Amino acid sequence: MIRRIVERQFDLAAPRFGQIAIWIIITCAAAITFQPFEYAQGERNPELVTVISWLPVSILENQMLFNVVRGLFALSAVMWLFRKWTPWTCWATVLTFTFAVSLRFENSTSVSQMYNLTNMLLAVHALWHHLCDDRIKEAAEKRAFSKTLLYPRWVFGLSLFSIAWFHTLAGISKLRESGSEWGDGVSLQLWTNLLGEKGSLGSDLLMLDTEYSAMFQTALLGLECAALVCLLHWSLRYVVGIGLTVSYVAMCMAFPGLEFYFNAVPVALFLLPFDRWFGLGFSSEIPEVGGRGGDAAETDSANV
Amino acid sequence: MKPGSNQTRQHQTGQHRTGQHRTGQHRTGQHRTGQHRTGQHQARQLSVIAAFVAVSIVVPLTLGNVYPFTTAPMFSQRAETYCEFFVQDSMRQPLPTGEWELQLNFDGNPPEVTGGVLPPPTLNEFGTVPEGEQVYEHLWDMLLRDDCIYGEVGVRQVIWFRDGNRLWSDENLYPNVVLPE
Repeated sequence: MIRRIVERQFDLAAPRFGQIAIWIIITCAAAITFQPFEYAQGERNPELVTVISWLPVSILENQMLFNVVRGLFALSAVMWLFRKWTPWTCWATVLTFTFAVSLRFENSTSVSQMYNLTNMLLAVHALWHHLCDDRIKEAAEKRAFSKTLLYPRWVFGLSLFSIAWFHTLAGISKLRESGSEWGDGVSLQLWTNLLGEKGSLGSDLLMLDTEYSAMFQTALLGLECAALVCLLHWSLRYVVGIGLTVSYVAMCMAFPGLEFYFNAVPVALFLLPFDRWFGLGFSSEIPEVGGRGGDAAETDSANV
Repeated sequence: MKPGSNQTRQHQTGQHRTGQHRTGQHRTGQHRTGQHRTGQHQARQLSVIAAFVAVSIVVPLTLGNVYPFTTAPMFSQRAETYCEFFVQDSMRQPLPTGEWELQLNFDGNPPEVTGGVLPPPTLNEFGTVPEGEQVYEHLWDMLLRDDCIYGEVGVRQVIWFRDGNRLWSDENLYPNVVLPE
């Protein structure tokens, strides 16, 4: 059975869904990278904050470098979108995005976990272009990119894993810090009172009654802890996807300043039935590049 | 059969459409072309996927929150209460709470999860409510600073807590705080 699951990861589909995913992820990455940002002043944190924390402070605090990195990100991302010099431009996009966000965190008093998913999904799609480079280039040369089966199932599966594992880690963190009493509803009301948008529908609903906010909080904790089940079957993926998307919509309404939408977008894209709506169907029969394959009768959906 | 005959052309251009071909060569794997179905290429892809999964699991659990890796600790600490301070001078003009180290440095993360620049020091941590002597002593320390131009301050403390099924607030006042003689 394990062998069958592993073999299925190399089934291929037309690249439309993967291409749309790249456009959306790069758009999110660009929105993150070019957000206005003010350098914080103060004592430096001796702990590791990012993978570049070991660099000299003069480099970390160099604003010119920050702008150069952002410019390089824009250049490489545009080239990736047009499939120029891939997979090098894909990796340049991943590295410059990671570097830009790291520089931002290195010069801030706070960090956010709203950019990690974008970063991981960029890396997954760069891996796709790297490991399937020959076939992608051959299809592009024959002007048959869109109709050739190029998108391996493992790209979708690895994207799902990144999203699910991120949320499972969030659930584990909550249980480890606060135990099962995390979902008592009071914390959520306190956070809403302090950081929420006063008068918004989301804030008003969460502040209405501690019992309601406790129900929301407990359901969210359960969803986060169980997020990895979305890898098992498409029906579980849709259940987790609907639950997380509804939670993100509520949190985006209640906390518009916390940028939850950067996580909500990939969650909706990969966990809701967008794969079906975009016609993502995998085939185990791989025709020549340029030959059309994957009739409806021979394909199945994006089950991992 | 001559090259270029009808039969040969059909083999070159139309073989994928024939049902015979699907149930024949495809199923045996003979037709799988390019490098995608070769064992070596699959093994390479598998090893990269396994490495990606391993790094995604191991690094956050061992190193913690080192971007781009994270344990997603935001909002993981539950709290029962918090408070906000409002500072004013002797003329009832509001003063920045940060200058009196009474601001709330809360962005949703636990206090130990910060950026590369440490947040400014404060008496006021989310989840705790400093009261009474603790507040007076803190204010006296602030008034004693060399750069402090004020001889007197007033502080209002708003405390948020649960009562029944809703949040309520209460106030503590520290009016006309001056250095003790």
